[in-house]
Amino acid sequence: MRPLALLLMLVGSALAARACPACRPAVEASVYNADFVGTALVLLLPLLVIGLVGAVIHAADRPSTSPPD
Amino acid sequence: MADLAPPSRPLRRGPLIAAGVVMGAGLGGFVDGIVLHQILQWHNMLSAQIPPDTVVAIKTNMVWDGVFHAGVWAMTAAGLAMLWRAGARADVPWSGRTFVGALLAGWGLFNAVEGLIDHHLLGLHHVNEASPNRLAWDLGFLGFGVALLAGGWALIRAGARDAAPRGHVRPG
Repeated sequence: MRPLALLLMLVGSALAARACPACRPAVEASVYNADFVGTALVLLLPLLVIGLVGAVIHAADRPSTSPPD
Repeated sequence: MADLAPPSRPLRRGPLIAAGVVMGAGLGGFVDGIVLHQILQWHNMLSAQIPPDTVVAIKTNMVWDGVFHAGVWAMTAAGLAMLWRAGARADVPWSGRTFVGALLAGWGLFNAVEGLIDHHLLGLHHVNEASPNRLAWDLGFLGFGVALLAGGWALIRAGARDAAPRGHVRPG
């Protein structure tokens, strides 16, 4: 009996996950609009700054210690 | 075949530190996304702009979370490529302390930069949007980042004594 109940729960949750077939057009309209590129750039801005810091560290590349004997 | 002879050029730690910082920032971004976005569900990337209180708003935030995750994945992959190149150089000391310190510093840098820009300057989201005291959580996130930066910096400094390049590290 318990396996059957578990199976029904799994099937039921899968159906619930597909319960918004009409959402896709609304989601696409709210994401892929005139603001898409600007939003993406703003959202990725911290990563661009961090990448710049990494490039500066790599370029600085000063000698540190003497090589081993 | 890598050159196993001791390097005659001065040692350079920059490539290893840069690889660790970039990879650490990427992995720190994954910690943010997995723990704070998905497991705890404290915020999403645009949850202060588009409150996730409808299915469409939740799914919209999910798309932008995906864009963020794609970015930190690319950053992690770039760090891995930089580490691979650093390991092939005879003038780069292969120091675990330096690399782990750089990883921690990268994570801290992620928290500091992402916290300052997204939480404080742009207000895209806050660390714990369900909390009545969002500012405290945002400042705690920044403070944790500064602590990671300090710990990473200390490890990087300790690793300055490690001088053997990859081909000269004893196995096991």
